[in-house]
Amino acid sequence: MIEPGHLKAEAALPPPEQFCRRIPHLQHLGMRYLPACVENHSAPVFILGFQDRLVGNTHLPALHGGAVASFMENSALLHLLMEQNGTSRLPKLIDFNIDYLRSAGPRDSFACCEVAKLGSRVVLVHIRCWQRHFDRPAALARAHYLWEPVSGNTELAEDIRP
Amino acid sequence: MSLIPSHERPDGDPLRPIQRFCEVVTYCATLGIYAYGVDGPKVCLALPYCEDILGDADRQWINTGAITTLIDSACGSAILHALPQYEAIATLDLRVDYLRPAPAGGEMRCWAWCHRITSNVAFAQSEVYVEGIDEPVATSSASFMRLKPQKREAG
Repeated sequence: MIEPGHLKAEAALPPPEQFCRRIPHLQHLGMRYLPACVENHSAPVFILGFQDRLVGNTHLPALHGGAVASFMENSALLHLLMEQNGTSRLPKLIDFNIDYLRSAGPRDSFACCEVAKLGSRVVLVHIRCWQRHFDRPAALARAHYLWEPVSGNTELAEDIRP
Repeated sequence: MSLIPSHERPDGDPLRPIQRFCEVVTYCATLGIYAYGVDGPKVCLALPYCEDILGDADRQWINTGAITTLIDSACGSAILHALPQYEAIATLDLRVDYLRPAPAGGEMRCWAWCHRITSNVAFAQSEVYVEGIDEPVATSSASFMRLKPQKREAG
């Protein structure tokens, strides 16, 4: 269970170097993360520190919906890579659905992911993004990824078939 | 109704509000998203390629998050383009199908259009193209809340 009140954003780490090299867009977003082992979280928590350049509506102000979606998509990707130790090629996004529940204000955003289904070829990931309260998400999303086993390694596909 | 790129249009044209949108929405300006053109009910926003949006360095594909940002912005613009006057809207939900990878290097263009407006909600669809590929790399469907409820119109 994630207790957002206990999240220590200042303890967050940049994504592992190998992922930053493979996914240059991560550095543009400025994403960081708290590993799963920290504070007994069951999954890594991803953090998008507030930056003025990510704002959409300057009057509210609120983060751009695209920045929130991008943060959530890339959280799902990192979650999958971390679970699989980055051994295979990057999972390929098939589709992405996002529901915006409330506007994301000018403060840090958090995201956590759950693999809802790990099939032989497709992975379904559920993603939650929140700010002050875990129970009051700014957005909920789900994404299907095509899971491409490393070339020649068809055993992986067999292993993860349900 | 032919497409005329923004730089060839005179002032006072329907593209101007879309250009203004791209300027005042900070994250659009951050990424370099600009108003490419208007064709009847359709609007087109473009995102020039830069390394910041590279999502897969091994295979040289653009990050899908950057595509989603372009789509969200273009669909919002299409709603504003369809409304009789400017009003505040907010994305309710967005679905994107990534039909094929978007190769790095080319400019991305998202054509979006509003196909239904009710007193509370507006719906938009879009197609995203990358320079050099004839088929769309992504399609989307989105709904938006009109933040100020409107009186129900006859019909």
